[in-house]
Amino acid sequence: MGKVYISSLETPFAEKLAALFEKDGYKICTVPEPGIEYFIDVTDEEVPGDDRKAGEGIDADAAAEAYRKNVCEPLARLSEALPGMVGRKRICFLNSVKSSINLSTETSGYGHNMSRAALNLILVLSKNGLAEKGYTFRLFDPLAGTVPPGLAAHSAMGYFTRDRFADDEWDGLGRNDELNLVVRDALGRELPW
Amino acid sequence: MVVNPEGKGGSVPARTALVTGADRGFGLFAARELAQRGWLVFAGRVLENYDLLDRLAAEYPLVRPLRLDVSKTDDIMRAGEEIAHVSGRLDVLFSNAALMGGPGASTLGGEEPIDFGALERDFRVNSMAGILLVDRLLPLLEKGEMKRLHFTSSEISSLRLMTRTGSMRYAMTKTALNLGVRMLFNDLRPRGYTFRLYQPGGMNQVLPDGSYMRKTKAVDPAESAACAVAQLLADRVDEDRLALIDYHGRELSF
Repeated sequence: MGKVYISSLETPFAEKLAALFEKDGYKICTVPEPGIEYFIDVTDEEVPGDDRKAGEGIDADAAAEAYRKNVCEPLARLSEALPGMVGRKRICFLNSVKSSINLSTETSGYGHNMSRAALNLILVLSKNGLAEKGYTFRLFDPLAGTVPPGLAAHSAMGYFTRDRFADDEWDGLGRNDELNLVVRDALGRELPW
Repeated sequence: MVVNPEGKGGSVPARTALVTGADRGFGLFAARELAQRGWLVFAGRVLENYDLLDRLAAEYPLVRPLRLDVSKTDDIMRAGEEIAHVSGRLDVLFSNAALMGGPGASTLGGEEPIDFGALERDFRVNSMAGILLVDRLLPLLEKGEMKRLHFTSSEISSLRLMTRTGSMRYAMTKTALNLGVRMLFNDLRPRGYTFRLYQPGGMNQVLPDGSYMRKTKAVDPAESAACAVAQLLADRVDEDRLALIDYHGRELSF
């Protein structure tokens, strides 16, 4: 079986997800290396000081640090892994309703939430370019704090490993759901951007 | 204290705006549109090689240029002090300053490694600065009568409409901005603030001598600014929903 990269095993969700892949015979690595079939980044970093509302003295440096942690560092790891990926070449990230421009109800945590909205765009745009090279993408909200991590891991496992619909026979529409990147949560709901 | 900008007495400007990125093009023309309507306009500048704003201020004394690098908190605070001294309030924030392009690769899987320094710099300027402006200038906005916040966004911020490949840098900053504006909206709309999130169109670049570098299918920045200011000043029937609206008045998906 192939290799699964998981950026960190420090959360219960990541630990349980790794266990599910191992049960299916995959080797887990936490450093990018050649031969990875699934690249799974579980980063969701909050930074001290990035917790203020408008008028409370929003900390630009804390917001920039949140951007480095949630966007730059994961992208650097992905850039390293990308050329050596094999098989499904599936790239999976976590996100949440906090990054949804349509649905967010947040009023603080600007750096964290804006970074993760940026990440959504980066993955949609990159998917457009990398799909023709065989890369596929998933965005998943584990609903941390609402859904138990074990249940969320099972949900993620199904979402990450299952292929998505594409027309088997040409019907003139050329439909391929792999090209339609969305965030799905642990209950299977699709979040609007 | 509200004073005549020339300090000679006479009519007092009805309302006060701050326009960032007013050195040239869209921001410059937005400042002109407001001044033509009798607004006192503080116009932020950062480009050393453009004097178009000086020329505008010579023509319209209601335009007051000030040095404002929106990524620098000290610059924002100094601008706030000047606005407080001259006007005592701010009715409209027109957050427009942005970096567009420049060196530094930002394509995932591209031939050149991603320039993460450039990525962070553009996030600070294009995404966070608009939020910081509101954060630091909120006491002045609280004293304003209109409490209206404009943010210049872009159609390439739209996740739904994104068909581009390659360079991610500018697009991701505007998506992040949209989310930041949503958060401001969540917080400040209940306090009476109204929001404009504007897609100005791909525009002809204005050169230091005021001439245009014309691009195919580009929008005239003066025309787009006129549309933006018209949308800015007109009340909407749907102020309780945040919408990204273009220069034709059409709404875009996020």
